[in-house]
Amino acid sequence: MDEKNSGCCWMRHKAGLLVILFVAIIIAVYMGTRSDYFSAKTSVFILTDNGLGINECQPVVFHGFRIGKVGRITLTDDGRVKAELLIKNEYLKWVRTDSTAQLLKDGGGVIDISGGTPGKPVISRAGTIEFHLIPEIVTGLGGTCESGVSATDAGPAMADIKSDLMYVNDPDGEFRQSVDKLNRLFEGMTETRRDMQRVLAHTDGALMEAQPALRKLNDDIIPDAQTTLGAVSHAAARTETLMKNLNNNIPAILNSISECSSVSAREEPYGRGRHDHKVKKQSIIEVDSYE
Amino acid sequence: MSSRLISVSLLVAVMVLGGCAGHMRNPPPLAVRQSIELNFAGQEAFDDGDNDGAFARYEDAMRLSRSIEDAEGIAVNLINMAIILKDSGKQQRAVAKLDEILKNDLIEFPSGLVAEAAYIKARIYLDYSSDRKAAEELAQRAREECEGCEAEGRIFNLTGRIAYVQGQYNTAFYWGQKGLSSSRRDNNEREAANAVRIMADSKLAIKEYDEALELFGQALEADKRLAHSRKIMRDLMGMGYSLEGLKQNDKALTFFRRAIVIASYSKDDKTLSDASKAINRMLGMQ
Repeated sequence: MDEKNSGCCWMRHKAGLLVILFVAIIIAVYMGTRSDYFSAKTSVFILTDNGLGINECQPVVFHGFRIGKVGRITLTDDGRVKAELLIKNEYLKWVRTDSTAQLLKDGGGVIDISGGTPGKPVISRAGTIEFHLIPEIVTGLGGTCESGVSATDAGPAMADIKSDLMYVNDPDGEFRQSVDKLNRLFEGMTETRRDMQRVLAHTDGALMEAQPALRKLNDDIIPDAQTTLGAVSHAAARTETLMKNLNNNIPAILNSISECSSVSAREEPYGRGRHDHKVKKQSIIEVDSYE
Repeated sequence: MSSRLISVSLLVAVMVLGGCAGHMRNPPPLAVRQSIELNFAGQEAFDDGDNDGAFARYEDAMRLSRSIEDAEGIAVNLINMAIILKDSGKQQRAVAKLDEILKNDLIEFPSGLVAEAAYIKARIYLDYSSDRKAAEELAQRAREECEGCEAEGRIFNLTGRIAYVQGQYNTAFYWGQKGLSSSRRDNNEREAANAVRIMADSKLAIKEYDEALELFGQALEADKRLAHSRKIMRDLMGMGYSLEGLKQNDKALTFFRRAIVIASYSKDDKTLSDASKAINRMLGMQ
């Protein structure tokens, strides 16, 4: 009797592990597809003396359209910063040997590629394009918030995060409905398990009595589980991406929040004196009333 | 259970993000940012003592602001240019810059900056002309435009000084009190000390030596914290005069001598002369 109970529990655990593995594979494939992991890309490089503001996974755009992202960033032997740009193959034709790249800090944190001269050859794999760093005021969260890399990183990710938050929390949305179905499914399985345990507790006619329950498991519950899991994995994949985004961006966002909160505390109609650089408003020379 | 955990985590994230939502503004346009940078460069040059360089940068910032009709940028940089001109002895040109704000009917400047411009012009009239009436009117306009602005304490103090030089000592004391109140509210220790000194001057002028001595003592403490040499000398002299009025000549002599020491090191001939005269008077050597 005990052996049968423990065997049944082990079966359940095994089934659970298989389900988890299956879901994990689905999520991994979904994440990879969303982050263009499986799309063919070509690596080109930029070299600069100052890599401040360039970050991995930063968008690479051409005429405002995203054509790739920043890959690995390394330091060369002569102390220069070498950043890998992963350009999707379908858009590589726009990047020529005399194209230039520049870091746009205004309103984002993107690497902007210029088209180069028509007629010039397309850049080859591992080619290097010229990079210009334009020293502008870094603006990001708060508009007057000088917060460097963290602000520009946080900016584009936050739109995605907010979109994902809305998706997950929508009570009528796919994710919540799928989770509800899964909960109902597991409740059904728990009830069936209880039935099976009661059945297996009786030795006489046990197999005959167990057959309907087993048939129900095989004919109804497992197919339902498969259908529901298919829907849940789709929704769960978005959640995984969301958590990944949060994990990558929360440090940057928190840095920006601390900048913003300190900025708001100091905000004045107009700046005063020479020590208000962080406020970034024009300042007046203060004239003493007595001297 | 896992969905609840995710929902709670995400809710917290939204609340944290929302805390910054009020500050998520678009960055200012390029011309505005460049104007700001020029203004800051001007400030740095001014701090380094390079008045010509500062003036040039403020002028560039003002031009940029004019090209986009940025009223705040125009006013701020005109005021800074006027201040540099005033300090360089070019009061007429300084007044002309300020009149571009005060007598302008094309652009509506922020009232706080109009108050600032009126304040500076009032100071020019007070320090460099005999037209006290004009200074008084300008100070009144500064008060009307200000109404709780950051310059309020200074404007009240200046009003007090204008009243003082016209012999209206009780009025001067009144404005000094208001200046003290505003400056303390704004945590402006320098202007608070100025206000106390104006009140002390007023008390000394009406021969209320006890109160004057107390007030000069408070001003001296503040000015020593702020390390303002000329004001320290003024406070010491004030305490000397107050003690002389209280017939405590020995103590008065001490303060005059202290003032002389500071004046000799800071090469302030006027204070040197005043303190010497006071000492000679007390010692009966006319």
